[in-house]
Amino acid sequence: MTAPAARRGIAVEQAVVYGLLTALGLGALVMALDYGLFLEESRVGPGLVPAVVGGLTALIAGWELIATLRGHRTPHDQGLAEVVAAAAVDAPRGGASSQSAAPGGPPSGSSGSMSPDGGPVQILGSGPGPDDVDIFGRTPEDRSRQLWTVSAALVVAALLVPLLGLLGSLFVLSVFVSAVVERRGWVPSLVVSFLAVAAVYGVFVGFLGVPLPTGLIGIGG
Amino acid sequence: MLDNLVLGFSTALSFENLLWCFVGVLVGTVIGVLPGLGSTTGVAVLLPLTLSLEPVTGLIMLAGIYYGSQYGGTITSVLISTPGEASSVVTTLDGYQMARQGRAGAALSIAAIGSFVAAIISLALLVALAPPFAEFALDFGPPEMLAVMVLGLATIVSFAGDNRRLGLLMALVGLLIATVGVDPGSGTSRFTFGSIYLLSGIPFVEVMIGLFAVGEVLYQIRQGAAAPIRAGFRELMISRADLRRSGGPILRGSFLGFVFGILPGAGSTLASFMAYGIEKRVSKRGKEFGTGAIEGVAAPEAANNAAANANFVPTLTLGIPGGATTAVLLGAFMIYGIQPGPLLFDEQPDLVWGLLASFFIGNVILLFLNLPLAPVFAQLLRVPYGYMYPLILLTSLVGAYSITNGMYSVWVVLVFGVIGYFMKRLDLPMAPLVLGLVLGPLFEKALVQTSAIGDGNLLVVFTRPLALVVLAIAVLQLAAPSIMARLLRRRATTRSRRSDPADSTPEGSTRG
Amino acid sequence: MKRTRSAVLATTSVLALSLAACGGGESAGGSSAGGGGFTPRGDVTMIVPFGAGGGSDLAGRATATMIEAANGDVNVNVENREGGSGAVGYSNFLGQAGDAETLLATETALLALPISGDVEFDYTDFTPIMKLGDDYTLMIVSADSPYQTCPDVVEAAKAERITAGISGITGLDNIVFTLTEQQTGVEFDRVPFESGGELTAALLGGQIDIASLNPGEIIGQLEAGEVKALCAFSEERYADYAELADIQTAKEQGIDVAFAQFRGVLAPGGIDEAARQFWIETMQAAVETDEYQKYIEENYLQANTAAGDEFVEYLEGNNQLLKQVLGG
Repeated sequence: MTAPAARRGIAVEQAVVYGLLTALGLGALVMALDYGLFLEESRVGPGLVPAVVGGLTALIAGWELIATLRGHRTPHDQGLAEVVAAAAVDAPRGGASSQSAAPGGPPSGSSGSMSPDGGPVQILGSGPGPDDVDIFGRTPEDRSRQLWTVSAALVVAALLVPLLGLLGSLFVLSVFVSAVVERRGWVPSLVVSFLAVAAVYGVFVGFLGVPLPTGLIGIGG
Repeated sequence: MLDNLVLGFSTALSFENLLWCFVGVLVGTVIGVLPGLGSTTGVAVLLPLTLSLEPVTGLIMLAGIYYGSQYGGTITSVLISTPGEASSVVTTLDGYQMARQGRAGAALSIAAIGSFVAAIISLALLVALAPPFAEFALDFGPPEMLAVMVLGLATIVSFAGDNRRLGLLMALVGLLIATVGVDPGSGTSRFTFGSIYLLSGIPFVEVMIGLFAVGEVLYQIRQGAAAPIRAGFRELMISRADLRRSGGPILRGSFLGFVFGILPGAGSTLASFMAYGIEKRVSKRGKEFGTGAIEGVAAPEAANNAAANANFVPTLTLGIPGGATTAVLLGAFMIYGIQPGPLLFDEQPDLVWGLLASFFIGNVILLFLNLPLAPVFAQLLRVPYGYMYPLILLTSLVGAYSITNGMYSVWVVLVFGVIGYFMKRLDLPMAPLVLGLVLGPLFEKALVQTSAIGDGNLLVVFTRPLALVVLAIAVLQLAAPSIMARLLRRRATTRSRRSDPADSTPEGSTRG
Repeated sequence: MKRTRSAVLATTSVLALSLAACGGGESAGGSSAGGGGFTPRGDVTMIVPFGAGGGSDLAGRATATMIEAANGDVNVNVENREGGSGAVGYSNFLGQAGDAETLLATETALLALPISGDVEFDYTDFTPIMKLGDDYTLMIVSADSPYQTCPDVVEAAKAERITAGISGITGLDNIVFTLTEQQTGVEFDRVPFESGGELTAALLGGQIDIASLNPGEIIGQLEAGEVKALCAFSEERYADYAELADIQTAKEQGIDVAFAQFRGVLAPGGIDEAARQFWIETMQAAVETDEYQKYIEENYLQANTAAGDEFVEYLEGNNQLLKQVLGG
């Protein structure tokens, strides 16, 4: 049940990346031809290197794309696959999935397209596998949501700089990530963030004299 | 020669010079720890602070900042996978994996020891052989540099991990990113889409902060919080076996680094990549590289430190900067009213020899400062990642901003952070991309110059003996690795069975 | 050393203060219409459109110290805004229109960037305050080269291939080579490099035949006798520098080419007349300070200053010449 879904998930994700790279390479090749491969007297022109590099990129990425679409792909233990797999089975399974189900689904169930060295890979010291709950009891979906929240928060923080100033907006980011995403208390979050921002201010502004933008309401000049 | 050394040490060992050397090393380490601030920015930004000092003292302090900040970059490479500059990218490959196994203390210690040994070796070479080496460096014209760049790109083979095609693909992507901006030959703006920000290309340091620091944070969030890394006291200290394993890599890395460091341009980056590649080939534990092999930290650290010192060969003997940081240091010479150039050794012997002696002293200070501190730094990893990553994000973004004093840098970091996250998820190797990004502009410049020198004929490369030698090495590296590796591994396995029982490291990440 | 330096600083700032006071007096009397009532509020920012440590950065920082020495009430902070070979800094500066508390350390990129067509500003969008000096180039060959004068090189170029290293298409060296070609009808084969240091190495290593370098970039090798200077592409000889005074100008040798990279100070566009006057007078006082002398001498510039409208005139002439060379 899990394995085909997982495999399809990997394939989709890889196909998207290789597709993008193929397009990137082709785009570069076309634009580079426009810049001119050679100048007069057959000197190397501005387009030569990008054209060759772009062409090769498209070639290799295209090769990988086709291989992925045809099912001959390198095995992966982490990726969209787990999200798909987890979404498919996780509702009944609930919180604590076992270590044996991790990572990457059962490799034995797959066809010969998987290479023999593609077994589960795990970094020692990073406790949970992708399908497990971590030490704070967070499921993969929780973590996926956190990832999106943090990514979005980073963008919002960067957008807020003209208003709050760089340090002001990073202070808000830090408090938000600590208190909301990591669910720590508001007081420690505020204190730690404040100390961090003060330290950064001391080093960058006080010592190195980097002029940081203050924003409209003038925090953290 | 001996008189000069005595003169140098008597200058460098004065109380004031010792003090400022120490301050420089310390401040440099702090600068290096901050993302975005490498040795070049560190020296440039702190230059005004040294103006009230005597020229020798000021230069000694600046040199201290130079190698202090390189070590600072190593600390973050190992602990949070954030290299301070291109030359410590390779250190993240095994250093960070060691840290995740609770062996950050050993990784930091071997980096300090390797850097120290390399510094001493390269200083001895610098003192004894600077003029002939400088002449040698001048023989490297554009065709020779083109050959060196080909050799550099050939090392990608060593970094491709299990899948060479993917490694090559990532290197190509790096090369492609490097072509953005105004081209070196004709001044055409390429892939800029009308943006003034893209005219000077996609900025390298921002890309690194994004890929490594932010990308790793995002990846760790998705991976979930692990129990903090608890390492016993014994694991924090470097073991005798570690030292034995690292001896050869450090020596090879030092000499390699010195030779590449003399060449202007990408010396130290190329040296660290090459040193890693060679060790991976030569080592009996080649398979372990990328999963926390201590040789993978020792060799590149020795190489980039030796290269940093070798950068001073053309700087001091010819008055031509060997790298970005030495260029800023040359600027400092001018501000002090000292004319850098070939006459420097004759006209300012106390200054030159004092500076050289201070390199030695500075490296001793660095070693004594960092060996005891390595386990302390390693303790930082006991802080749960959930508490640490907001701080990593905070300093990364401020560091990025400070590079150009503009929000553009921050956006570049965020975009490449997302790219880095996906690369980690899909197991796409990052080191080849960085190598492509670093070598791309140098490769293209050498190509354009060679074509100009050869009057449109690139085959001029084959008429230069030195270039031919370098090209031959590159071909060897591409063609012969399997033979060489097989030979070496057969010899190695028989030996390792006997000598090293602690060889059963579990299979680790295949990244890199 | 430390003490002497600060003593010099102290005396110059006293001197400068009195000078600034004189300047202030003049402006109060002279430009009653403009008001002379402008004084900067808070700190002044000096934007350097290039990274820390380069020639532009040195100029910007030196100018900041000069201004502070000339007028003790003004505090100048230097801010590097690098990117796009200066395009990012200038374009940001365009957005500062009307803000008389911001200045920019300018040089030839102000003219070269608009001609290359990638940016949306030109020099008329800003308020030129003061030209500080000219950085000319010398024609340099290695010591064992057979050429003794610039015409020797031109003569040789008629018969054989002469490779000329340049530091970029809009570099000063490419401009003087192009002007020389237009003058004499010969052609040099260009090999692009990226800095004076690279060019010096290429000359010493015999990779190129000629290069055109700023005196400050090559003085060390020149004094060591490893390279020789054939002529200076300047209006006047470097008479103030003993080590350069013997080098003939190209004009003396019969090639009418002189082109300098200028260093100067810009204020943003759209500032009022009082502010413009204030900065012109401040800069006029600044170029009388010891800090100015020190900057000029250490960088081997020629101290040709031009304030306000004179600077504008200079820019107009220079712009025409550049357009003709770069084909804008």
